[in-house]
Amino acid sequence: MTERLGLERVSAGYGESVILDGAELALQAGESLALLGRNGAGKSTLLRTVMGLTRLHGGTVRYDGRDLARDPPWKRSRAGIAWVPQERGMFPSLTVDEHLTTVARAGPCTVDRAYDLFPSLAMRRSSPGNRLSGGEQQMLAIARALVMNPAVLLLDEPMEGLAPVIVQELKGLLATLIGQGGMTVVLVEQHARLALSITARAAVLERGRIVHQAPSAQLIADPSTLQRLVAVA
Amino acid sequence: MIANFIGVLFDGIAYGSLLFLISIGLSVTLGLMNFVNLAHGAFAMLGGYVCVMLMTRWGVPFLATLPIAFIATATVGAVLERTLYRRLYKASHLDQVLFSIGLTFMAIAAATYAWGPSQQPVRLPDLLRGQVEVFGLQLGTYRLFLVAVVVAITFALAWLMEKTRFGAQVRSAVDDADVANGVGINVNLIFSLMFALGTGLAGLGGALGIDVLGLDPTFPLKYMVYFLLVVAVGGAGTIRGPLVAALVLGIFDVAGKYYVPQVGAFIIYTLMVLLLIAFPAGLYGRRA
Ligand SMILES: Nc1ncnc2c1ncn2[C@@H]1O[C@H](COP(=O)(O)OP(=O)(O)O)[C@@H](O)[C@H]1O
Ligand SMILES: [Mg+2]
Repeated sequence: MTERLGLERVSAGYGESVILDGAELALQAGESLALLGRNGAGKSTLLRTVMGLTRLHGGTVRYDGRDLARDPPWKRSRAGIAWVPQERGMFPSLTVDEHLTTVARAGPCTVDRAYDLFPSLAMRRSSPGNRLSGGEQQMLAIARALVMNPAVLLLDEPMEGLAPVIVQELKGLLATLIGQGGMTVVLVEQHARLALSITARAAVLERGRIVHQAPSAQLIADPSTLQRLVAVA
Repeated sequence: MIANFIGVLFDGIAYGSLLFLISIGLSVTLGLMNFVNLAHGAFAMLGGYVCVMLMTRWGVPFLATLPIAFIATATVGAVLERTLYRRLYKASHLDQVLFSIGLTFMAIAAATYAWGPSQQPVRLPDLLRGQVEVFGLQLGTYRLFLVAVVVAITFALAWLMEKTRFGAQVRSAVDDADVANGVGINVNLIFSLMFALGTGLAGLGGALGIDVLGLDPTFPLKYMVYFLLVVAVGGAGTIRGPLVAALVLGIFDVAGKYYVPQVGAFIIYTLMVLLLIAFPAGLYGRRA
């Protein structure tokens, strides 16, 4: 197997602050990872660092064996890393359709295919991004990542604040995507059990460092360890 | 009396159109890059000098100088954006003001050195001189031409921003530059292109405006307040806001100077104060 994404002793933050402090992670092509950790542990910062949206103080971020240090975020995105930001990153002055067509890249997931996956978006093609419900915004953020036909998909708490039925729907969709094995998926989630139930591996982040790695099935079968590592106090 | 009033109104609209054409680039740099570019008028001046040089030295016809003025100032704008402006996007507004006011005085000195301190003449083609009768009113042909050009450019800009993929990318960068960058949009390139477009339009406005605004090395200072007013009152980052603001300012300025010449320029400053109190975020404030 070949390494798709690798973090080596990565220290990064915002301005002078250091949030990630020696983070190590390696992901093979097609692998799925649940990235867990308490609030403020640095999960979002890790994803933003892979995108190049933080300041890298030290270490390397590798993608397909190449150091990304000099690549601006848009190049990383076009190289095949897609990001679903925690706040969903809607563009208020773009319609649903424009959200997809401005970023779509050739591949099996066309804009039409994305509308097949999310029929409720298809009905709101010309609505502005900020007029959607929370669930629709989340779907649009995911659809926007899928039409890029990425090799790596970074999802930052995609279930946050959604109604239970929609959570189940998205969970099914993500499980299918992961099951197809074409994409490397990193899923950041507060609902640890949900994330563990659809991923192969798990990593736990604490104070900017990966402190525990295990197969997801093993962690889910060990409630006391899970409790110790990620339970909200 | 009525005909006279309509004539003044028309002159005001022509003047306002010109202000809009020149100021739209300032609105872009403020709305997109959050940059206060006090040197914007210097690009308009450059366009004016390009036009005059081409006509007097090489005998290029006036109409043919206009696209060249656009391209020349857009190119200079793009180069300066890449080399200088970009470094100050994250700087404080005070730093930006100091930088761009310095650039303005350098432009004034350079223009004085190159072309002397006097007003430059422009000889309009016969076709655009004199008056034409429209619905029984005598209107200046050149001013009619000005309004037509600006209307056409406004529609083209609106189409570019609202209907094209490039326009959607620009809007996404205005909405959230980080996220736009993170979803594969080359925000830096968009900034450069928009800066070039804005300075190019200023250059075109400077060339078109020689007959109305005049052209000498003090141009960037003389009109700085007008351009800033258009953006402050209209709101940055939109087309509609500065358009309405420029027309209102143009009409009030021309009407004020015509009907109450003693008060002169006082009128528009009063108007500015009133509008800013009534609409602190601009007529169509983007970031409400
Ligand atoms: N844009 C930012 N600027 C400065 N500090 C930030 C920013 N975003 C997050 N932080 C800080 O980084 C730390 C980690 O945050 P984050 O990566 O969002 O954690 P998580 O996603 O695990 O909850 C927190 O202490 C937070 O205050
Ligand atoms: Mg987070």
